[in-house]
Amino acid sequence: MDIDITGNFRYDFIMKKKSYEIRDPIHVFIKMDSTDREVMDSRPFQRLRYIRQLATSYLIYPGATHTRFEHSLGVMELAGRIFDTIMTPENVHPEVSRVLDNINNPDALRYWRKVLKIAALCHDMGHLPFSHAAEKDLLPQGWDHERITGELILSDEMRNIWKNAPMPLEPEHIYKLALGKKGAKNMHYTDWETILSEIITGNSFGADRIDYLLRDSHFAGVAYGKFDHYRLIDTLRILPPPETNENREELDSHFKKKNHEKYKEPMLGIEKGGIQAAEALVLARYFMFSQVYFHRVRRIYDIHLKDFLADWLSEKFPGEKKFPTNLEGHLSLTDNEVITEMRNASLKRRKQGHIHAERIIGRKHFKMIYERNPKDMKINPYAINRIYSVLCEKYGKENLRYDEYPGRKGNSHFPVLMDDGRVIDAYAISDTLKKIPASEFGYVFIEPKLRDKAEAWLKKHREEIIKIEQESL
Amino acid sequence: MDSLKRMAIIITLMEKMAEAGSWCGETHIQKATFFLQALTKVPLEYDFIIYKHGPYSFDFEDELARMFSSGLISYFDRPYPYGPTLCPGESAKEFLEKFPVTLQTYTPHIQFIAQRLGKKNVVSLEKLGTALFMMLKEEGKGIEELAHEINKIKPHVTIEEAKIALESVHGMLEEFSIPVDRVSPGSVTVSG
Repeated sequence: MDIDITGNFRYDFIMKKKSYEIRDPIHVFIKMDSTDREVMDSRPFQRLRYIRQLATSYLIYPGATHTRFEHSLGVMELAGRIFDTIMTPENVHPEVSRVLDNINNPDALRYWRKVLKIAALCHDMGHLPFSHAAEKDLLPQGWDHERITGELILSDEMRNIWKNAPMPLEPEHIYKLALGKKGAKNMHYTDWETILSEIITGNSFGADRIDYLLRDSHFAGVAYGKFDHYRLIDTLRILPPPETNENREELDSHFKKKNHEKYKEPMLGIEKGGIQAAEALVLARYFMFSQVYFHRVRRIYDIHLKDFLADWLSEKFPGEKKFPTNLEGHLSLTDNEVITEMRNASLKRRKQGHIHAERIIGRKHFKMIYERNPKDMKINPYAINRIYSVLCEKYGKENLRYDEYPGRKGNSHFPVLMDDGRVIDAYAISDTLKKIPASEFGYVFIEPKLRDKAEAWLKKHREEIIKIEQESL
Repeated sequence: MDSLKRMAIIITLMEKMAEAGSWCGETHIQKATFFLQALTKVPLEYDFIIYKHGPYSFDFEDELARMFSSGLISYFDRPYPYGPTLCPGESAKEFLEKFPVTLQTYTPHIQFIAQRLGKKNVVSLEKLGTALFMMLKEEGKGIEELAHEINKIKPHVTIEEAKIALESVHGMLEEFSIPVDRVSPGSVTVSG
C-alpha cells in the first residue's frame, strides 16, 4: 500500500506502473517493462501489426494471418527466458565463466539482458509488406530488411527511447544483437556479443526460430512445428566448442595445460538431457519448411505478388521503382495498403499490375510444370535452371516463373555437455540429427493454359536440355 | 565464373586437400576456398564475411548444398570424436571429365593452396584465414596494426599468434607468383 503522510492513497503510484503482461497464444504471458512498452508503442513497431508473418500463406492455410507484431513480442519473451537460463550461476560452464567477464558482473548482466530483449523486440522492424516475399528484387541494391531494421534502430525516433530509458542503452549494442553477424556484415562482434546475438538469430536455438516454428505451426493449423521448447530452453548452456577431429589435437594440448589462459570461442549448446527436444526442433523445422514455407502454391502466389508489386511500385515511385528505404516511406507501407491496391487493380484492366493482381485475387495462379529432383540433378546440378530457361525461350518469359532454394546441410552442429563433463558435437550422440535431410525445393511454373502442351514437349526433350556439354579443348 | 566450372574446381580442391593430408571437414574446405579465391585470385565470386571460425561464405554453403543434392559431394560420417568429412560423390568423376580446360587452368592454384593448407587444423585455418581477410580488408596497414585488429575481433587469437599468421600469409602471397606464372602467365595478379 502506498499512502502519503496525509493518509491519502497515492494515485500517481498507480499511474506509474512499471511492468506489464500481454496474453499470447504461444507463451501465455509476455512480460514487459516500461522501456519495452515504449518500443512497442513506437511507430516502427506498431507498423508490424499490419505485416503478415507468412506473406501469402493465408491463401493456402486460412489461419495463417498472424503478424510480425506478435512474433516479435514472442521472440523478446523467449530471449529473456533463454538469457535467464544460461546466465544462472549453476548453469555456467567453468571454462566459459573464465572467459566471459560479464557473466560475473551483475550490472553488466542487467544491462545486457535489457539490450537483448529490446534487440529481440526490434529484430524484424525492417520487414517490407508481406515480409520476405518481395525483399530480394524490390529493394534498391545493397538493401535488405536487416539493413532497414538497423537504420530504424539507429534513427532519431528510436534513439530517443534508448537515451531516455531508465537504464540508457547503446544503440550500436541493440543494432548488433538484433541483426546478428549475418545481418551486420561490417560489424565486429566480441565473443559476448556473438553469444547474445545467437540467442536471437542463431541457427540452432535462436529465439526467432523457436518462436516462428511454434507460432506459424499454431496459426497455420499444422502440428509439425511443435516441440518441447520448455525442455529445450531449460537445458540451453553456453559451452566451449565441442571436441571434434578438427580441433582435437589443439584441445588435447589446451586441456593438458594447467592454468591455461587460452580458450575457444564459446557457443550456445545444450545439456545432454535436452537432446531429444533439440532433435524435435530440427525435425519441426524440416517439416514446416516442406509443408508450409515451401508449399508450391504459396511460392507461386508470392511470385505473383512480387510481379504485382513491381508494377505497382513503378507507378507509385516512377524514379526508383523500388520500395522506399527512408524512414517515413518505409513506415507508410504495410500489407493493408498493398492489399487495397491489389484488389483495386484486380477489378480494373487498365490498372498497373492488373494481370498479376487478378491471378492472386481471382485464384488464377500459374501451375507447376517441373520440380527439382535428384535424378535430374545428378545429370546436371542446375537442371532446373536449364529447363526454365529453355521453356522461357519456347513459350515466352511472361508465361513462366521459377523459384528454388538449394537447402543447407550441417546447420544442426552444436555442443552438448555430457554427464561426465565432456563437451561433444551433437552429431556424435544423435543419429537422428545426422539423418534429417536439408529442406530444399525447386519449382518451374507455367500459365495454366499452356501447361498440357508444354508438359508433353518437356517430356520429349528433358534429357537433351539438361545434358552438360563437354568443354572444348 | 560459370557455376558448373566453379563446382568442378571445388571438387578438385577437395581431392587435392585430401591428398595433402586434410581431414576435409566443411570448415577446412570453406577456408581453403577462401584462400583459393582471395589469395590465388581464382574468380569464384563467393561473398565471404568474418564468422565464428574466420572467413565464411553463405553462398558457398548454398553451393555445397546443391553439390550434395546432385551427388557431386558426399558427407562421410566418422565415429566420435571425429566429425564428418567431405569427399567427391558418386557423380563427381563423370562430371569432372566435362571440364578439362578449367581444371588445367586452375589445378596449379588448387595444388598450391592444398599443399600449404592440407595439414592445417581448423584452429590454424581460422587464424590464417582471418589474417588474409584482414590484410585484404585493411590494405595498407602494417603487421603490428593488423595483429591488434585481429586480436580485437578474435580475442582468443593472441597478438603474437596473429603476427605469426600474418607473416605466414604474407609468405604465401610472395611464394604464390611462381607456380601461376609458369602455367598461365599474366592471368592472375596478386597483391601482397
